[in-house]
Amino acid sequence: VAKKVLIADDSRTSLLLAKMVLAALSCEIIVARDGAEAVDKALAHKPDLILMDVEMPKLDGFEACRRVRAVLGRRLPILMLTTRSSVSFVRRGFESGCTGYLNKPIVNAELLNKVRTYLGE
Amino acid sequence: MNIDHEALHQVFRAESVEALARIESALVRLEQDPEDQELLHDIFRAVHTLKGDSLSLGFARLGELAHALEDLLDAVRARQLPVHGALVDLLLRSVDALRVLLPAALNGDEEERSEHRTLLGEILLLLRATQPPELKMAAAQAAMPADAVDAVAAHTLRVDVEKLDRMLVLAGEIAISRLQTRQLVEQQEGAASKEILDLHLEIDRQFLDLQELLMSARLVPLAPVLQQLLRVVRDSALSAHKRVELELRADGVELDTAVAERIRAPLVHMIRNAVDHGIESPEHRTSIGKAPHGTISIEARREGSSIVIEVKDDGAGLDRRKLMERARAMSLAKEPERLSDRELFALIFMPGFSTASAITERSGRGVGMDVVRRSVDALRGTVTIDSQEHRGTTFTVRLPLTLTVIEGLVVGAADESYVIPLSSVVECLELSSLSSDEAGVRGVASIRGEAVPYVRLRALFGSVDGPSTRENIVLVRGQGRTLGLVVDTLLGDAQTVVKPLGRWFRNVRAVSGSAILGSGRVALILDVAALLREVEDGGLAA
Repeated sequence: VAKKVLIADDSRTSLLLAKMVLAALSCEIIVARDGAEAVDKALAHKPDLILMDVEMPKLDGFEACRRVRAVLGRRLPILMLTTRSSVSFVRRGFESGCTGYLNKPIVNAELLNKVRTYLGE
Repeated sequence: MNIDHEALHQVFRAESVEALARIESALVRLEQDPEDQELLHDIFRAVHTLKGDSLSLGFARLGELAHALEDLLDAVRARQLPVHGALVDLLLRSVDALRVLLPAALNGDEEERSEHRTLLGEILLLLRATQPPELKMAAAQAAMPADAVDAVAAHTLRVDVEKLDRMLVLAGEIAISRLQTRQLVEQQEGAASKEILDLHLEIDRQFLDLQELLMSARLVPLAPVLQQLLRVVRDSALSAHKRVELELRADGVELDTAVAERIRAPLVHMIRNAVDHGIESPEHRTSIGKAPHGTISIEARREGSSIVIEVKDDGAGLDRRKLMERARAMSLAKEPERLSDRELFALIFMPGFSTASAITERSGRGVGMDVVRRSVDALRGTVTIDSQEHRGTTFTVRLPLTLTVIEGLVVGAADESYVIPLSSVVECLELSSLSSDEAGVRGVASIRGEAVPYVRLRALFGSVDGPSTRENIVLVRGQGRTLGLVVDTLLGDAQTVVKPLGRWFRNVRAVSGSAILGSGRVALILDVAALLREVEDGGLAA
């Protein structure tokens, strides 16, 4: 069975780029355009990994992460995509229950390797 | 890894153009309502996304400016900077700069430009004035070279409008072949022909669906076009030292892409005129008991097959007296005082009329309203004016949904529909009451004692059946002569989209084009002038 990766980002460009990069893996990709959609799709599809942008309309990435975590438990890896690296920002992320960070702008090889690692391939 | 850069750039371009338009109109609204945090967050998020994507795609200059803007907006969000005119101005100029940088970056031109340096400098200064923030300069991020894996296609495509135009023309040509095929098949005998006919009718239905899709593919929402006007109002109000608010109502209104493109310029013209010459200065408005800020509202709605756009201001209105003076001076009317309001107001669309300094002081309309009329004419639209002194002026622009539309009388003959241009129709009568003879292509009817030659459409276009039991005759006139067109049914009048005939059908007699009716059905447009000519020459013999 193909692993499922949910990518939540309000940018069509980012989503397309991530899709292109991850096409190298044989995983199923589900996309969400805002935080609320991310929560809905996470609960509906139960993905193996979530990549979550922080700045999104409706719900920001932190809040979406918290809500998904509350239902799907602690084992699901959730990576936050962000351009920010201040300490307070990182702390907010971990408080909301994310597994790790992935820096934006996305470095294609880094994205590919991280996803590969978290999917256990 | 296989990165389809072209597809990626295409999505990025479309998304960024959209984002910049959204940022621009939101900034203008933010200036009016600086406490709207929701709006501020929207702007921030859009700039943030633009920055991230620019850097992801390796567009360093674009990313750098977007990044500086993001820092600036962050300071506004943190209430370290108040929203004021100068700040909004700087932000708007940055949006303009991003608009220039975007296509340049996509064309591989990442040259540094001095004006962008200056802009970055201004932003830095403003930021420094608040507190020394940690300024993270954007780093260029080179895209990875592409490997060979399956490409992922984008979900939206940009298509050249010319291609869409060609598709429509082709559809018009197919419509005519379709008609001829059907007639041929209907003339065949035997069981096989019945099957072919059924199949043909099935293809017909699918063809009509396809045609409707083609038409709808050309429609774009009007709202983004109107959003751009927020900026026009803001800038012209600033330079005229007036206070003006723009209200927009165009939810769900869509129109042909060619029309949408060309309606912007006349709208800008009308708006500028309303600000410069319609809306009074805040002091004057207050002194006559009006709110200090003027309001311009633009409302768009669909009415049948036209789009109506109303541009309304609550300014001084047109001054009858000055218009009359001007009309007399230009000898446009002998007794201008006898003209109705509507006739008098229409004069401002005359070339040279409104450029007169004599009427620009208070209520006259400034430069070149004739340009507005010409642009609207070119779109086959109309523009009318209503005005009340001291109450304001309303321009009503009426546009066809699609570029080429004619008013026509739709008639039926032998199960096909034809369109007769309404401009040439004189009257319609029932033929049974007349002394009609046989079922031939040509004949002469006596109408109120006058002999009128006629042409029977069902015979002209090759139907083998006899005449319908009830026929109607449509009298058309052209070049000083009258001709009757005998049809089976009158289906009413309609505005229809005209498609020219393709090169293979130039010789089809008496037909000037094909039209798509409201129902999506295709009809042939009769060439009345050609019919008259043929009858004159003794052609069209049965």
